[in-house]
Amino acid sequence: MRNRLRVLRAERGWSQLELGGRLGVSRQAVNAIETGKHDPSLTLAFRIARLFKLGIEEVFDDDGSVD
Amino acid sequence: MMTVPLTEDGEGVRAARARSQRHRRIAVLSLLGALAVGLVMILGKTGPGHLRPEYAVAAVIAMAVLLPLAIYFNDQGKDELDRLNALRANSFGLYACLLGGWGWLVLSDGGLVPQPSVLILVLATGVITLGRYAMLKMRS
Repeated sequence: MRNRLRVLRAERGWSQLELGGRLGVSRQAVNAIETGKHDPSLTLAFRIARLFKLGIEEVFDDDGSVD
Repeated sequence: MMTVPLTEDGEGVRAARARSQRHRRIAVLSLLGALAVGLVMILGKTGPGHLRPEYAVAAVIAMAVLLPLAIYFNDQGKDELDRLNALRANSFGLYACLLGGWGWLVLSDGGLVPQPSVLILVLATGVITLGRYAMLKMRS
């Protein structure tokens, strides 16, 4: 799943550690999400969207894939 | 939106540091608990492979109380990725233990190797699980 996390984070001048602290996850988790190695849970995805004051679909894009 | 330079001392960094400190404290307490159980076992030793019954019971009860507590509090300090990595590593360790134990048993039935050793199986499972966890953590 693609996401705009790295761009949104850079716009605010936050490091991965800063964003992780605000979300309650580790820097490694932020990195894994940004690089697409880890798809966040729905709870975390909502927390991320809420932090950036955006809709969840404005942060994450699953290319309309259906499993 | 205007791009601002990266900062390392925002509220998020402070929260991350506090979280990391909490995690370290829990790890230290878990280690102290393990050392306490080890100490009970050393104190109750009467010879190679022999433990006084009351010390053996005390060690098992202490472990039965401390291990679930350590697992619970360590789990509280993990985020979802770390929890997933731990779950994957535990599954890998379990498969390795089942396959290794079964394979060793069958080979010993065939007279090719000595009887399986529980201690070696438990230690190997622990090492394999930790190794797999470290590998997953490095990849993420």
